[in-house]
Order: sequence, then C-alpha cells, then structure tokens
Amino acid sequence: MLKIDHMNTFIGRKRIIKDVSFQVLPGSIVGLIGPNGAGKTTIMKTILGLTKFTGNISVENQAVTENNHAALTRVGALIEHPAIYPFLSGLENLKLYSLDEDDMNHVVSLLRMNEYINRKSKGYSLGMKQKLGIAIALLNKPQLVILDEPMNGLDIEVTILVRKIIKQYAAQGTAFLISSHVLGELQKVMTNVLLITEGQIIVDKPIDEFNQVNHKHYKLLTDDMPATEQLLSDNRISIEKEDHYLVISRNDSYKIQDFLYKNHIRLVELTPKGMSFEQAIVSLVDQQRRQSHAE
Amino acid sequence: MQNNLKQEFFKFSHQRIPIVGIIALIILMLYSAVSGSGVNQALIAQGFGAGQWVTIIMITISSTFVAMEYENNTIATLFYKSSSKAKIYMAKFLIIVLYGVALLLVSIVTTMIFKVTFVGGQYHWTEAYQQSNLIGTLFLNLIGTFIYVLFIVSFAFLLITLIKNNPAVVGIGLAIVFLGSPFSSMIMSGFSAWIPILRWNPLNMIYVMNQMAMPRVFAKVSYLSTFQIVLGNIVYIVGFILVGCLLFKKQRV
Repeated sequence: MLKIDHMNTFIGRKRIIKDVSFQVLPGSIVGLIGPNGAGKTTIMKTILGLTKFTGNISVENQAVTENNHAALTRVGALIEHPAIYPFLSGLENLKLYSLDEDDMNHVVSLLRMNEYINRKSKGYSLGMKQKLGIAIALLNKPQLVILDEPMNGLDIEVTILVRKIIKQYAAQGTAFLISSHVLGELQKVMTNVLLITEGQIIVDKPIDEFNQVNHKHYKLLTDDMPATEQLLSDNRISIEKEDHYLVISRNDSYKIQDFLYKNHIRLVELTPKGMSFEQAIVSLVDQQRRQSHAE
Repeated sequence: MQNNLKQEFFKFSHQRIPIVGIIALIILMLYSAVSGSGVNQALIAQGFGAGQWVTIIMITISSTFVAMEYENNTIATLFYKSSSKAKIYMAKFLIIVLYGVALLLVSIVTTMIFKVTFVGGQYHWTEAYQQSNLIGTLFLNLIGTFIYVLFIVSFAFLLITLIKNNPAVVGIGLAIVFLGSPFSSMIMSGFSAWIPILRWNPLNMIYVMNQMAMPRVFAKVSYLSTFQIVLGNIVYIVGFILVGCLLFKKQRV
C-alpha cells in the first residue's frame, strides 16, 4: 500500500525528517505518535507530495513526487484543519471532490451529517467542520486515508462513531495513517505504532508486540494466596510480592494457570503489570531525547 | 485541466462576490453618469467609465479568488488532489478572465440602457466620433480594457502568490490603476533621454485602454504606437503568468 524508503524532508535547508522508512499495509491502522514538533504533520504532508523531499514514497507501487500526484488518486486526507469553503454547503464541499454520488451520500449518512449537510458550512461548529473534513477524506472509497488529529473538536459520541467508521473502512482494506495527541483514543483503534521524535522513527511495531514488550510481568491474585505462594516456590517459579498480589513473569503465566487449576486454586485476577501506553510512550521519547543529547 | 476548470467554476459561481462585482459595476457606471456635467459622447464611448471600474473590480476579485485558498486552508487539499499545480493556476486564471469578459458584456448592455435613459436618441451609435463612430469607439475602448484586464489579473495572481496578503495586493493594484499612469508620465517627462526604454515600463501599459480608440492622442502620451502598446501588454501578461505559475508550483503548504 504505502511504502516510504529513506525519506528526508527539508524546510528551506533544514532537514526536518531524517531517513525515515516504514510501510502501511492494506487494512492496517497506523498511529503516528510523537511530541509536538516531532515531524508528524510534515511526514503526512510529504506523503501527499506537498513538501520537498528525498528518498522514495510509493502508493500501490506508484511513485509520489512533488510534481506527480497520480498515485494519490485514491488517497484521502485531513491535514491540520478541515479544508472547507465556507461559502459552500457541506454537500457542495463534498461534491467538489466526489466521483460517486452514492458513495458521497453513504459517507454523509455514516457520519450522521444529513441534518445539516445542506446548510452553508460557515455556520458549522468546530465538530461539524471536523466531521466534514473526515468525510472529504473518506470520499471515493480510498485505499489510504491520512488523518492528522481527526478527533479535534469532536464530542465523545462522535469520537466513538469516528472510531467505529475507521475500523469499518479498515476491515474493508483501507489503510489508515493517523496522528493524535489523544493517545488513549488512538490506542483503541490502531494496529501499529509508529513513534517519532526529532524527525526520526524510534518505534515501528504492531500494537500487540509493543504492549507485550511493555508488559513483561503480570499481577496475580487467587482465592488462596499462601497456598499459591507455596505452590509457585515449590515449582521454582520466581515471584515477587507487591501489596496483596504476586508478581510473575509473563512467560510463566500459562504454566502458573495450569498449576492453579490442578491444585484447585481459583484465579481471581491476572493483569499485565507495567506502564500504561501513555507512560511507555513518554518514557521512550525521554530515553531518545537523553540519548540524542548525550551524542 | 477540464476537472480543474469545473472545480474552479463551481467554487467561483457559488460565491457572492461575482454578483456583487456586477452590481458594483452598474452602480459605479451610474455614478459616472450622474456625477459629471451631463452625459455626452465621450462618456458613452467610454462606457460610463466601465474600463476603470472593471479594472478595479477585477483586481479585487482575482486576488480574493486565489487568497481564499490560503485563508480557508484548502490549498493543501487542492494541491494533493490535483495532478499539477500549473493546471490549478491556469484554471483559476481562465475562470477570472471569463468573468472579466462577462463584466465587459454587462458594461456594454448597461451603457446602452443608460444612453437611452439619460439622453434618449440624442446621439446615434453610428454617428462619427473620434476615428470611428460612437459604437466602434465604445468597442475599441472595451477591447483595450480587456487587454489591460488580462495584464492586471496576471499581475494580481503573481502578487498574491508571492505575498499571500489580499488587502496588500488589492491596495497595490488600486495604486497602479489610479497613480500608475501619472507616475509613469512624470518619470518619462523627468528623464526624457531615457524615454525609448522607460516607455516600456509596466505602469505605461494602462494606456492601452484608451489608445485602442484614440491612437493619435494617446500615442503622444504613452510614446508607443498602438501595435507596440498591445505587444508590450502581451509580453507582460505572458511574463506575469509564467513567473506566477512558477512561483505557485514552488509553493509549499
């Protein structure tokens, strides 16, 4: 789908994105995460052929250059702010880019915009404009959708709706590259994490793998903790005590569940112990910053 | 290109500004009719000042039509959705030029209505006036205006691409229309030895509006023959379009 190879982006003479390579596969939802000024929007703009770059960008094996956007025919995007003409109605804004009226009406219904779609968009609220921006990005059955902070200005109900729509499109094969500061929201939809700081990618992993690395230990609670402790010691399984929990290695978790079952000890709780997603991201960014300052 | 033209026409026709432009032109022509010492042949031949008014309206509208893309943050979508930035630029330019033609047609119709309204049958369209007749002079004036509209629109497009500030571009454009020709004449009379070069300065090109109808009179003011002033305008128009297009292609958002 989208393939980026050794991409460097320049603003003036300054290199903003440094030798970045990654792929976005069909049906995947890649979360582009990073602190302010890390280069997330610049990466998105570069993919859309809007900035000067070196390296290779291709969509469906077709190269994107600054002057050739033929490969972007089936790419939808929402970059920074919704691109809306205030003197047009929502529907007219969509018509400007739509190639298929049925698809356009489908997107309008999906985002529940029917009630106000014929009104001039200059009177839209922030959330309505954002929804219209997302609708423009979803027009014409895109193969790739690039969304920069899509949840900006959306209330909880619409956020849930947008999340659902993203998953629906992804299930049909559309690839997504999404950046957001609301990590919790992104975590709920993304299949892959792409963490960027200072123009460099420091993590490019499927979300499960990222969480696994992050959750090396589990917290265990049973209905008979003394017996459990004895049982695990007898079987030479390393444990640590933390409050009223036993902390075990993730690698031992299946074995332990088996022992508990055979010894008629009931498992009450087995939860990953580690940093939250946000904490893990912040820690990785800090680590990278310290490293680059040391260099 | 067809798709770009369709999109630009859709955007332009859905705005209020084209209608406002037409209404403003009629009001300004009416102002010309009632504010002077009465309606005479000269005023009719000049289309009740249509040349000047159309030029002013076109500066404002052309600059606004490009500036709105930056103001509404639609420029990024416009760029990535289109295969070529040059096509976007040219599509916008063509739509504005077409609107200029529409304004000139409105000015012809309005001139005819105003003539009947204010002087009835006092002057006949076919009676001799300047080097032609009244209607011929009117058309020559409007052809001259059309050439200058192309000049000023291509210049406004170049300027808005360069500085992206609509009020500044409109201000500069109006200054050129109102002060350009006296300034150009002043320079030429001040440095008469340099006239063979200075007569080609861009501010001097505005005389094309009058020189088409009154070549003998205005050739003495512009120091250019009618052929030369038309050629000069065409060279500037092509130059402004090429430079503007190049700058637009180099735009990063």
